[in-house]
Amino acid sequence: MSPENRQENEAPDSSAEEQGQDAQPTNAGEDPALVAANAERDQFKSALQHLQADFENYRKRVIKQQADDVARANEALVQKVLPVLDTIDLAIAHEPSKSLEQVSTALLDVLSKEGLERIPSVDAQFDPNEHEAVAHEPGDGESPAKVSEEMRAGYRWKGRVLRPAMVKVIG
Amino acid sequence: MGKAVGIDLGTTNSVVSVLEAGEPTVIPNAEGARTTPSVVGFSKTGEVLVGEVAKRQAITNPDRTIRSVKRHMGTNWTIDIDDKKYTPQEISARVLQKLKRDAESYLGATVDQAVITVPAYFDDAQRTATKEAGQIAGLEVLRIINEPTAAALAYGLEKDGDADQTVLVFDLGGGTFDVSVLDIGDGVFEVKATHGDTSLGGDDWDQRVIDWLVEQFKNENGVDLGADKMALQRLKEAGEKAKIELSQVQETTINLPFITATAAGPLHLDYKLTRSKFQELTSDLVDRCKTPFELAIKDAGLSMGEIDHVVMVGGSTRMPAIYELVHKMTGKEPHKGVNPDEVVAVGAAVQAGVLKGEVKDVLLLDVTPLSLGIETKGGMMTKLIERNTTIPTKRSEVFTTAEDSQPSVEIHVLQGEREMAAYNKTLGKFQLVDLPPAPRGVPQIEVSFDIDANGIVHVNAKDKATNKETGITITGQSSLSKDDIDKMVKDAEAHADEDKRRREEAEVRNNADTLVYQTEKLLKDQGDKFEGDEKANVEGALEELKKAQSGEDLDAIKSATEKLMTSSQSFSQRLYEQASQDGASAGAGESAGSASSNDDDVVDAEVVDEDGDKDKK
Repeated sequence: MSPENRQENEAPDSSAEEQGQDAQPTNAGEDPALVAANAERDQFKSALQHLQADFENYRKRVIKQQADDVARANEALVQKVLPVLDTIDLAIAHEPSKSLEQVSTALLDVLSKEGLERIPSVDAQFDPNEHEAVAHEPGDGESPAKVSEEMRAGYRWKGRVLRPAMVKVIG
Repeated sequence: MGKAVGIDLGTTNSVVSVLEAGEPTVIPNAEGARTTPSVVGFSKTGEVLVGEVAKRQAITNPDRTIRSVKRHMGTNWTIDIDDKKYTPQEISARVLQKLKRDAESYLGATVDQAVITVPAYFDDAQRTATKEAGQIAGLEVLRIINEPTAAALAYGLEKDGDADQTVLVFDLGGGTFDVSVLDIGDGVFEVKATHGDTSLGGDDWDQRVIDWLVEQFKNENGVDLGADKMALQRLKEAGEKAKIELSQVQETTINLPFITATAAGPLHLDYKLTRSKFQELTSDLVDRCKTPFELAIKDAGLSMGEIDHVVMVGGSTRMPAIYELVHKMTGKEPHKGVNPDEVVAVGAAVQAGVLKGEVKDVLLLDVTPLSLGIETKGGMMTKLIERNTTIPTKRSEVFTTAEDSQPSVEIHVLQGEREMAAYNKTLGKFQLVDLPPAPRGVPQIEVSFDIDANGIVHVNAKDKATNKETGITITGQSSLSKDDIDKMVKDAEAHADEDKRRREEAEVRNNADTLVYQTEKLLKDQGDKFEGDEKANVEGALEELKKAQSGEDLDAIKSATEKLMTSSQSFSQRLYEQASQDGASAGAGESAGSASSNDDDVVDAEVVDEDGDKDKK
């Protein structure tokens, strides 16, 4: 059963009530009730236009968000896998191991096909959009700040930074 | 015309919210986060960085990165960047500009007005500076309101009753702590007293966890992780995560593999932290909340028992120890429902909406308090309009008959949440008569519900073949008191399992009934096309199902239905093309409801799909 079929939503009725006695005549000779009714009509119209505009914008945003959500599906899961990748990195750093490297390559291969990218860091120009500086060493004062060491890898997921690389910066 | 937003311009984090059609929405920033760090950085290349990005480069650029500028608002403090002096309001304006920009891109509209919140203890100079910051950012500041007032507004406490209300707002943020006592009368807020501790916040709780981890690790391994920047960074994240988890669970594991290495090899950190241990580590911090709390109440000239409402602000108030403290000291259950990190911004958005006159009584739309629908086969209620649907609204659905040549259908209009018609309230009944003779399932009867803004329901039924229609208008449906409505909703919840069972039972019986009808039709119309013992098999299974139908054993009906379906399947598949549409549906699973009432000639509708595909009921 699908109650969504044939569903229709109607905009609110803007049938105004009579409120003649509250009217402030602006022009001598005009019917105060008419003036009041006109004012009220304008008020309703304006409110309706605002509501309609809000709704249109809301609708557009929801559509965009849904598309985003679909495009970025699995983000939460990938986020949870990052510590596993970190552990592998750390293990290799502590004791280079061919077999562990193969595990790492295989796992990254799968994830990169889905949209995970490792953020380049060492020797790259420091960019706080992608790098989080946790240590700093003064440089020569001339050249722009560079990443001298990567302490933890950073990743993008479908083009957006999922987690910045944790780095040491020189300069 | 631009939009007006509400902004919580915080010491560590800021939040922006907007009222849309009367409902507050918190606006995520360009990075997708709902809070934006109140940090501004001037990069050496001349870029101005705001928020998370500014935080990430802070250590490389400490002289040109400004945190917690709120603490300098209204003072003569300035900062020199590239030979230019910046005032606190100019720095704050950078944060506001980012919030404005991100809100505009999110809303797809210009944002040019704002309500900005400040702590209750802010003096005139500090408020003026905040207003200036807004103006520099290109915002017309509609009003500066107190943070505790905004929190109370978010919960609509000013609408609560006629008498004066006393509200205690307990605000434990990342780095500051405030307790305020408000008095609300006639929609006017007055801050009676406020006290706090400008150097107490959630970060202190995190630090305790970090210290504990460092100490444990040192005792066991002789290595001081506090000296290792990277390890410390990982501990910081883990400490905060553990704190957050311990608000939900009694015990959490902190696992940081390869945290450091010695000559002997890598070392791993792996500890369990229980909530009680965490509370022991931080009990003095909880105690530090008590004094400002007591002073605020005393200054307001009240005793603890005289507080009417308690509102919690700040993520740290999620900690059970804080909740218990507040609950114990006030004897009141704090209000819940609005995210404590966002409640101030939400209240500011509500205020902005009120000032802009967006929330006018004339357009406050109501909702249907209970679901509306009709009785369908098996004594079930088929809902057309779900409860809490905003009105005015119109919905329609197509039903059909349950008997061959059924001359009329009865539309039994119901209100309520129970699955079974008998337990819901009857709003009215009417008949659509003179249906042309047709096999069951063929007529298309469109039933539409139309509720106007006043809650008046028009129910209409139309035979699509003849265009004959009839209907009723029900006016009294909203006359139910709030208690009646609550009772009906609760009742439905309490009987949910039982109702589900009954619904299933009705569905099983309806399925069986449909299959019997279809099989009999098949035997009658296509009897000569059976081969071998097919016919005998089908007839046997049919008799079995009919027998089961007369009994009470639901499982027996189910298995007999399946058996009949299987035995007729090969045959009907073969005949699919020639067979009538009705015949085909024997294999098609779920069949939906329709009603049998006590009168034989009545009702009984099965829902048919829009395209008339009777396979998918």
